[in-house]
Amino acid sequence: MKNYTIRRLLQIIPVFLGILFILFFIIDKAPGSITSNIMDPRMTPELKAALQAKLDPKLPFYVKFWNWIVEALHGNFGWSAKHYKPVIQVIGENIGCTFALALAALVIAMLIGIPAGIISATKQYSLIDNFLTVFSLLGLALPTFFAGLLLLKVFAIDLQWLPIFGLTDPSKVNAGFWVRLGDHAYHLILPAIVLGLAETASFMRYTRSSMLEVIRSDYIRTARAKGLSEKVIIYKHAFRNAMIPIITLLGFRIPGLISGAVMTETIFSLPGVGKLSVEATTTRNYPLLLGINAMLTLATLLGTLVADLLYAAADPRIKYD
Amino acid sequence: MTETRDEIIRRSTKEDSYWRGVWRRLRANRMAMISLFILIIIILSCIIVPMASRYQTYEVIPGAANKAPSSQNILGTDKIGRDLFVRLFYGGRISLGVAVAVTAMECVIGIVLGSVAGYFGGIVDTVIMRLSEIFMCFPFLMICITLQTVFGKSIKTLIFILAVLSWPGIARIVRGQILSLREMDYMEACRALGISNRRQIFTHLFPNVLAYVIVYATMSMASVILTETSLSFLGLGVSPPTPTWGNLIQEARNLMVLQNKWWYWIPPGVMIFLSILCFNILGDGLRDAIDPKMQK
Amino acid sequence: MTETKTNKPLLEVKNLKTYFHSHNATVKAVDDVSFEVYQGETLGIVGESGCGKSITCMSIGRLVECPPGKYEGGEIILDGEEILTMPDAKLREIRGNKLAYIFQEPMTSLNPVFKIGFQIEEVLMQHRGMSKEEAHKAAIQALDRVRIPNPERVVDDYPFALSGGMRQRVMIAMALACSPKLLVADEPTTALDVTIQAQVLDLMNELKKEIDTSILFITHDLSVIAEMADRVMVMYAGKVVELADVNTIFERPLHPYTRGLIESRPDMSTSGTRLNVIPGNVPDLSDLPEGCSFGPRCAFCKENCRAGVPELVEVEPDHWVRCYRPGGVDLDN
Repeated sequence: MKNYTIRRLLQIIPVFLGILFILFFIIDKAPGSITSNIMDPRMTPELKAALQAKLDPKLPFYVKFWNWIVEALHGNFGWSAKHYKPVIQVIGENIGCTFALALAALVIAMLIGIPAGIISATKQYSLIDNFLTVFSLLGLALPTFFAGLLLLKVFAIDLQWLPIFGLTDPSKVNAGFWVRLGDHAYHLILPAIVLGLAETASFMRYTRSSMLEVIRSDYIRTARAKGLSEKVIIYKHAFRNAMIPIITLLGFRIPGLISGAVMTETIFSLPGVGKLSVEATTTRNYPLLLGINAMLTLATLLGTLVADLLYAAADPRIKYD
Repeated sequence: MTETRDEIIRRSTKEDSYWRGVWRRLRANRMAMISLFILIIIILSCIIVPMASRYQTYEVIPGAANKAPSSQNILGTDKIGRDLFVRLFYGGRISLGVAVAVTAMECVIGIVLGSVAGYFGGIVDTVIMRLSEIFMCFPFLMICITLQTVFGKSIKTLIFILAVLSWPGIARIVRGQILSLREMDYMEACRALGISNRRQIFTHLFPNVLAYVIVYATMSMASVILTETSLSFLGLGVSPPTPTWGNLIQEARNLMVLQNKWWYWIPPGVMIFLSILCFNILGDGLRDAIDPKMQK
Repeated sequence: MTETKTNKPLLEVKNLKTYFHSHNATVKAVDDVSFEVYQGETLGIVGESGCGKSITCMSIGRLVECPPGKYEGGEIILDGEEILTMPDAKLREIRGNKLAYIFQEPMTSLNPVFKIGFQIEEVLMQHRGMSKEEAHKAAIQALDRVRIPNPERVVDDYPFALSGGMRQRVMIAMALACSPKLLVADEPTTALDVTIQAQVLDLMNELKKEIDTSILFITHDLSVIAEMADRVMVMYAGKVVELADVNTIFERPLHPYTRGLIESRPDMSTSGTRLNVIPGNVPDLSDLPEGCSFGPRCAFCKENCRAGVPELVEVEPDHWVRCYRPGGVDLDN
């Protein structure tokens, strides 16, 4: 297991470098620069050029890439001129919200999607199966932003059950830790449901088809012939096998989850990485953009790695050595 | 009467009856047929409405800003007085057009790279597959956003970016199909009969792979519509004044609009929802029709 | 053979009908099949694939998936209890206990994510109320009984670590764990190599004597039947066409289909000559020909064969045939 983990970690490195290289290449070719958004009238062209030379000297692309990698390995991902802070700090301040949002959505998706998928598969073609199948089709077709707007209108604006935007209520900024945490959670309910909706639908669909395949397999027939109860057959024998492809899905969902988080954060004005990157884009804050992308790529790769390891743990046929 | 070798080949591939069988099974799928019907209606209205309407897409109707739906303007007007009904369908042209263009490009890139990888194998295969892994691990939406900033916002670059980022899916499917077909008995039989490589590809591999490509392309239409509208909603896809379903909804980010003016954002949202839903159902139906073993 | 007849049969199948319904056709996979299995005997069921022999054996434990399958009629009485109408909970007590199965595909019949030991223990804990430790010991014994080397080690292996032959032994160990009264073996050796096949068959014969179980043995391989069965039932298109003891079947087959099967078998004496094959194909069960299902492939087919379906009749003691012209002679004569 240890060797397998190390080998998979080593495999990640070239892919990660490859992605970084492409990202760096694209951003290097981007028009505008750190200084192009400085609107200060005292900034003369000469001063601007000097600042430019100091912050972003004209070097060959590959040298810049190498420097960036070396610096990044030392924990320095550059400087966000807009925030007057290092990129890593800006990201650090925003990643908590994104992480909480994505995690909440994933938990919702798994807690609802997987059991619903199992029920749907075991009662194939029944009324409840049809209902759940229709629900998952609708859930998959409803874009995050539209679902977000609909729920926002119904629950936050019309019914006023939940807050409209932000992560903190202004009156509770200085409250105790637990009060603030509760407030954050309260603000995250609607965004997490919005993001969780599409994920739930896809988990349900996936669980259903995976279970259907397993239920028809020979070893389930063997389990029946052994006189085991339906409960044991479905939740132990079948689900242990159906789980294996679902674990892979976990890894594959991470990029989608991040994209979804970007949309959700924008709609609900949450201070997360998604909103940050949209801002970074509109203000041409390239070091920040690069930092965010590197971070998210790494998260994606590590996510697939974790899924892979879980997969290996769940399926005895896979050997680690 | 003895059959010639070619006749045997033609009969054994049963290309004709294969596609007829697919169509027959698809026609028996009520949900898929309803979806197809709705899609045809959506596409036709996107073509016809902007041509037949008495307002132009970009035409500002004097003194008619912010009107609620009426007999004059079926879906009301926007804040500077453009007819939202005609903009909705013109936006559909853009959203669907982008989806078609991206899907077509993505399929071409994917088929070429996938078949090269599957056919040649070895180092070529390794390189292409590693590359596809890299592309699949990109934080998709983020990269779209970044590339849009870098290359400037235009529909052409948007199409290009989406296509370049989406090819790995189809490439992997094509490669997998080619690899498994190469191992199949009838390919073995073709080799034994001395049928040329080119012939093998065109009479055997192509129809089989094509089936999967069609299913994938249908599904891809749905996902491209979703991506484009999402980007446009964020203000990072197609930029106004050109309407798309995505940036029409963008107006609802204004809470006043969200609260009081449903005609700004509900109609484009419903159109996006309906077309994604129908493409998904149609794709499912096609998959079942193409691979009847998967059913029951 | 006659002394077994005096016993009450262990298993009685009466007019069993198992159909499959799809939206446009009904497949009569098992159509009015009746037979008995006596204590301690092996009944072989022979037929081509798709003749309904597998569905017959699945029906005995109600293992046919419903829907699409449906038990349309008949009775299955195992050891005095009616299976088809029994409540599920009662049925579960019988499955794996009085009635055990061995399936065709050893490679896919064991659950890949559980250890061999666990899969055997499960049966013992379910039916014998054993504790985990007792069951573990019993599982090792069960593996030892089917001549698996190093049972203490194999018990902790996953199925993927074993070969097909070994897995089939595990299946047998699992099936025999609770000393069932009836063992249903559905082509247990078809997927195995010939040498392994012989080993597994020998093992089954030995164990049968050891625990005095009855076996319902399904195969399409006549040489296997000759080695295993006391009586043989031949099935064609969902119906029993001939039923007799094993010697009678091989020496005096009366149904043209049974004859065809025996003659199409390659053996030493016919080497060098062309094999006799039965012309034509197995009919589509959803679209059977008029009259006798075997008619279109039969050399002795006459008008009355095309007009009506013959009954299963006892042409000589304990020899049943479903044919108007058994052995090529009109039944009336």
